[in-house]
Amino acid sequence: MKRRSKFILIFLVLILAGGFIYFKSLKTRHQELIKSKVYYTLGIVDSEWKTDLTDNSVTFTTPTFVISNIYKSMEGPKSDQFVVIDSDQEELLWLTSFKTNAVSSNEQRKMSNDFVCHTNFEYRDAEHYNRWNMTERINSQYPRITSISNGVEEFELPNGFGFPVFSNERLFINAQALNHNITDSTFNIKHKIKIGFTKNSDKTLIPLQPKTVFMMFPYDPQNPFQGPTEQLPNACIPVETKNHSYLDNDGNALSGHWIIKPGKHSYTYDASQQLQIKDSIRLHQITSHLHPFADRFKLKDKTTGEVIYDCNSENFTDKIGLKNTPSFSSQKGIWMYNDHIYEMLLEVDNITDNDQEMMASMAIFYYDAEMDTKIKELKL
Amino acid sequence: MKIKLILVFLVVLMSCNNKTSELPILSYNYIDGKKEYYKIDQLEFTNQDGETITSSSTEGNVHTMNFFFTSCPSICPPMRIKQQEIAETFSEEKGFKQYSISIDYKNDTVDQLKHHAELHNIKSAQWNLLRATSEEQLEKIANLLKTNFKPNEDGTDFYHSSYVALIDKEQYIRGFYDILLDEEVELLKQDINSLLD
Repeated sequence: MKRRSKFILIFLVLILAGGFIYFKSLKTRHQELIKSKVYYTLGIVDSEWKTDLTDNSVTFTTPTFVISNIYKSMEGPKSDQFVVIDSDQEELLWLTSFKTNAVSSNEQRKMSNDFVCHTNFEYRDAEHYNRWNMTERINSQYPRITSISNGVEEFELPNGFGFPVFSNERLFINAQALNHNITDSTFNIKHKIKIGFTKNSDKTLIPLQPKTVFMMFPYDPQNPFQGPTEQLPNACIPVETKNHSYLDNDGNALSGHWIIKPGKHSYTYDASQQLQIKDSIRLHQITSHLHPFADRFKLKDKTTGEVIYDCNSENFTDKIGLKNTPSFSSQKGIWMYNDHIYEMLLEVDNITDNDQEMMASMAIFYYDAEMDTKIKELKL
Repeated sequence: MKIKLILVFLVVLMSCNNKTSELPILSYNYIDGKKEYYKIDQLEFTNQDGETITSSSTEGNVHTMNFFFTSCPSICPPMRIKQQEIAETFSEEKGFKQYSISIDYKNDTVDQLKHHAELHNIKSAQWNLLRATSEEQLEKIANLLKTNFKPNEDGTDFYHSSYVALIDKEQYIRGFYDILLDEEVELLKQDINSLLD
């Protein structure tokens, strides 16, 4: 009996040791997924999303995120949720502003937004477009409304413009925590995610259509981490090859997250194909999503030489993080054309001695003429 | 004691008011600017067993409908895996069915559908593979299900979406789900359960 207990004990110790070695071999983001699952399953921290609705805004509060490590972008605790603004009514709403704040887990104290990696807001395109009988738009692009991130934790669409959704329409939110700097303590936070809206019954706004365009660079899938070669002089070193990897029309591998070595670097990317401008569009809003060490991010009409958006992002000087990433916002708008070439230009300055991870995207909004006509025809 | 009784009463009252959120009805068109609901009730297909499936077969059951074709090399195999997962989850539930309509009615004969069902262990008691008899019939059901399909430009294949429509017992569409995404499959299961209740 004693011997049997001894075997069981040794077996358990081996299982635990094996589990620990396996856990330690995982990447930070996978470790955090497991840790969060354990915290939520055992009820150690709050695991539920919460909704607070007012007449002109809705605030979604995330489950608790336990900050116990350094988390670069996409590594921290995260939570995804399908949300509905008001399931009791079917009313047309115009989303007009987006904001995320980090707060203490008891929701009493505002925390530094250094702990906000990003909040992604998405519509579900089949439900969204089928409500308007715009079936042909389904699968035409990734259904992201917008994204706010470290350095740009809030923005408003230009006055008089909005993105139309129904109050009982399901949306999808993805929230993720960040921690570039604090290593000496473990603490709990939540994200408060506020969406401002105008009811159509109060005022009909002008509809905008969102689109996200992002920089991506080639790499050799056979030897992904070797960097530029004679055959592939424009190659990047991808952060990883599983996520944020894409294939272009010729089947070449591209990465939207890449490594930047210490020092200054600049990148250019032809965004015309991603923009998919059919005839012309009137651009009203751009919000950038950048990583720390990004200095300047531009959208340029290469055909005319005009710089449409010049984002001078400000990095903190005493810690890692983006202090401010200015948005572009215009009621009048800027016309963009399908026969022009549009280029994104990025300048970075990695002032550390280590490799860092970079990405650069623009969440744009442009006038949605088809939706405008549709809404005017309907008796809502 | 009185306070305790009041508290118990309040808790009971609150739980009575805690209604579950209803799924909106999504099968509607705007006629002259006004919303008009419709049912998915004009069906006549043949299943893999050669049986005729009409709206009287679907009425009273919570069900899903989607498009596929047996020779589809791209999204159908991963869609089928997710649908098999759903079939497994609701294997004991007699009030739930899946209907997959082939968009390649010329090649997907009843025999071909039967062969495909046997190959992938698809049982008609819960999951019907349906054959149309004309392009018009397919276009009509695609319009009702608010989805689209078309031959690829080079004629080698078809494009069809990875969405399934969830339809309630009264034959109204209550949701659309991209079945290739795990989180959407979980949402679909949750919504099937809420419609079965």
